[in-house]
Amino acid sequence: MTIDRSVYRRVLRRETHPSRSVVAVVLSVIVCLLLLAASTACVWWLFDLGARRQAEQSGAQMLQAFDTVRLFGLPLGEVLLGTAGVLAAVLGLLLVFAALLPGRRSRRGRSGERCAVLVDDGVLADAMADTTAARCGIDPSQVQVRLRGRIAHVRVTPTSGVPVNPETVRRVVHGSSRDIGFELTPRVRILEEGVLA
Amino acid sequence: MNASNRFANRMLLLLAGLVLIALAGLALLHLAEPLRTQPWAAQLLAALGGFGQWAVTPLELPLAGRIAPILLLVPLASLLLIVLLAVFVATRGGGRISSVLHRKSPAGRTLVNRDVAQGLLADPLGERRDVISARTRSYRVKGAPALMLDITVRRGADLGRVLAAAEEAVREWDGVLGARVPTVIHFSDRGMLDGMRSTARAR
Repeated sequence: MTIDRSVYRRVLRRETHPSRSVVAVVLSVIVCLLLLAASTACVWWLFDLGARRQAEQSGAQMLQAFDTVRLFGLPLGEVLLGTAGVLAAVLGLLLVFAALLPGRRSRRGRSGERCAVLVDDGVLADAMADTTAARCGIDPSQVQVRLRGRIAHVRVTPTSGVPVNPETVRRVVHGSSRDIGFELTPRVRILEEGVLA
Repeated sequence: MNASNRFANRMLLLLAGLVLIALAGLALLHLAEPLRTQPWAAQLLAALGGFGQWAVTPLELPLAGRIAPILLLVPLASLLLIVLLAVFVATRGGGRISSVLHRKSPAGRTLVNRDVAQGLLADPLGERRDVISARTRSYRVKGAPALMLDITVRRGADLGRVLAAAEEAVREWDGVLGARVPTVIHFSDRGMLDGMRSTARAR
């Protein structure tokens, strides 16, 4: 009754990296709508001869307006083409980056003897903040924890007149992540100005 | 944990990104030197050979009059692309299965439904004071079922204790099932509504 470890490796890899499915689906739907509009326009152009002549006339008028109307001292057509070009370039670069960069979801995982464990960073940060607050005798809202990679940035706002030992905070934060099998290095910052309890 | 083909997602994004960058390049090139795009278009037509010429040479059609064949090709190509994209969208997600164990023997086939896992594994955890909710999902991973146990804990919960309880529940589940199904215990973020809940459960 052994478990194939590669199953956990695969699941943890998929759960800690973004699938890009949402972006891909949104993009597909937008492209479908544009293609549908283009096909409808083509069919309409083919079979409605009166509308075609009318569209040719209004199209010619529009092209003329692109040349004659000026915006920022430039013909309207050039301004629109330039804007569309820049927007397309930015969007295109974002899509290429989304395709090539691995990305990371804000969660971390490990596989153990029997189960794999996956923890969202928010849950882990809250647990660290709550344990620290309870141990230091302060309100949980006075402790902020942010996780980046293997480092936990902890910011403590002490109660005025009650000192907080950074070493205690470091030990508590380290212990609370180790309890569920994650080794994080705490970086503690105790603010000089406290709050009234 | 779903079965979406992630390589296909990224290929689609890469392709769309490169097409957009190429179009942007053409638009900006046209602004910089309008005449340079004309020979480029002529070269493209020449590269397409006879097909290119045919596509832009107007034909006399019975209902439509004089029409460039490319106007017929665009709707057909669009239709094909729409079907392909619809298949792409429909195949995202998936991989979920309703059973957590399949076993075949000469006497027959045994299937254990996910609801059994929910009742034996997740529901007792969900009743703990420090847990808001617990639920199970099952997926097919590498051809075999795998279980995901999602746990949303209450603010202030000791994660170590909840994890120990979950692992104990999994061990009991193994004993009941007589098999070890790969299980992932997931501590998930609280939702917006969960954030407004009290830190203690009233009974």
